[in-house]
Amino acid sequence: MTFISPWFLGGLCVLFVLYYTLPKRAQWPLLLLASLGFYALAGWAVLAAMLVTVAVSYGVAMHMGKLKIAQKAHVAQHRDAMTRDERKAYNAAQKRQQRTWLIAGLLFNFSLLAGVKIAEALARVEIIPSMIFFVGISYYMFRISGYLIDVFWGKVEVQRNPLKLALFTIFFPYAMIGPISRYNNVADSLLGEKRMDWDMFGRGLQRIIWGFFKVMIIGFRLLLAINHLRAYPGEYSGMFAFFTMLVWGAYLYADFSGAIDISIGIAMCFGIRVEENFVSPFRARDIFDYWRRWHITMGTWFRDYVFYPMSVAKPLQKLPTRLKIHIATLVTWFTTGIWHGVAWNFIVWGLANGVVIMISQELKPLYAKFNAKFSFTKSKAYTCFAVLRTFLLLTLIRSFDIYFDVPLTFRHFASFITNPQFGAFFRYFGENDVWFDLAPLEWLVAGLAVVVLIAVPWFRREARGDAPAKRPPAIFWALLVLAIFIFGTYGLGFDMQYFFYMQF
Amino acid sequence: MEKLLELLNELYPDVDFATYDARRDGPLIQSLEMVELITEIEQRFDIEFPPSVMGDPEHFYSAAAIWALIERLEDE
Repeated sequence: MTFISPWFLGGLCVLFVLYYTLPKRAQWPLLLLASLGFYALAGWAVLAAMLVTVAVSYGVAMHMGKLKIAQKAHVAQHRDAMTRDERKAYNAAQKRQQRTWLIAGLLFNFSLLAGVKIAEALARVEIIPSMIFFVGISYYMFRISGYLIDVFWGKVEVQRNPLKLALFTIFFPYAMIGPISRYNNVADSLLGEKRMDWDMFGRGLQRIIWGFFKVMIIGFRLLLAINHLRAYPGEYSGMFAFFTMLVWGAYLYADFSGAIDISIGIAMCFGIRVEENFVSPFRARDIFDYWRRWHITMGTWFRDYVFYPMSVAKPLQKLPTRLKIHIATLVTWFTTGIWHGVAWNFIVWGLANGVVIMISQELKPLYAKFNAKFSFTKSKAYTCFAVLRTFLLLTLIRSFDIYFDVPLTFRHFASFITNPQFGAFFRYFGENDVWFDLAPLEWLVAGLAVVVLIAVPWFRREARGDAPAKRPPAIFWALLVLAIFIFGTYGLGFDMQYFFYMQF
Repeated sequence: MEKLLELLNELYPDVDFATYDARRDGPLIQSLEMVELITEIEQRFDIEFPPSVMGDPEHFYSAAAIWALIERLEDE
């Protein structure tokens, strides 16, 4: 079941009523029950895998917590009797013991994740006949593994109630699609008792409407065109392929950020704050900026738990700093690629990001000199140029996921020059009544919705953490709901119910 | 603290670290530069930076914040 389902929305309304009428101490158990139910609908095997993961992680975290308490007590008791070196040696030995437990826990989680991902890859090439859809497994694995690492680092208190830990892991609004929340960011809000806050509830509803607008008016509509365009890759090369890549970017943003809007909005209606995952990514000035704006919680997860630990890891310490950074960057992006799936397109996508980041990093001093020398680099026009350049670059990198075929994607890149098909591309629109399986009116609706998306600044400000200066009037929301009912994509031909990012 | 200021001024000669505060002046370094800074600090102060502190911006808001962290790590 996804957010776009009458059953889900009906159940959600009942849940809101129960949540705010039952005694407050029943709030988090109610959310846990709802989340378990939500997962059970995805299949009992999916629910069982999740419960086993939570149980193992709970045990590991509790044991690390006990070791930490004993370590602190020992140091406090013998502080005066120990020299600084003795204390350091004792702490290091204790840390090693805790690290063994951490590694065991992470190995268990990631073996399970790898098993599922490899089975999915084998099912894709029909080596094994079929595979259950372990919906959202990467998201909860990363959430709970992040918690384990934070416990090891001493950044969070151990959660002694396994049921509360289970709720953090699979809270249904973010269970399937993210954000990849951190325990210390959401635990208080998620597990605390909440009074009805009408303002927050209203803003949550607005956020949900905004998400539906993105997903149902833009996302699902553009997906029909994408499916047509990628069904005939040989025919649609050159400008057609470039057009496909642009439409793919718009689709992916509308689909993924829309789903996240719904996710964040539902959490807000329960009085719960979860992390933002997008901040106007197409306004990024360079690739670093882009990854601080797109799928933010994934980026920070890999930065904090893979890139930083690798970059200060002992085996790399003797290397020159820049080499160390580049190795850590490549490994981080390779891992990010694999996180999406065991397939060449994801691996090449990850490595392409890593290589562009490495090159950009090396060019930074050159850019700094260039920017200092030429004053036009401070102009708005130059900013627009930088934004456009980044947009095009990321459009190319992102396109590896369109066809799931790396050589084909490279052939399409080459066709921009060898066979651009300019004439054929522009003639296509005059010669056909339906453009890539979508009527011109459908394109107009999607195009106008994209304009609304660009023009409405309210959530952009909210995402930055500033209180919006002016909220949209009620009529705006009424019109948006009306637009979703009229132009939302339902029924025959529009039966795509899964978000692209749910497969991860 | 003087030793730290010396290092910061070498790495970022255009910034006045006596007054710099990232919360007011905007972030100076991102994740890749963070590794460069930490490698330098580790070498000069002979301490080990645990990766756990690297993702916490509050440790790097200002020279004083970095110094407080170094003192804490030296004591551990």
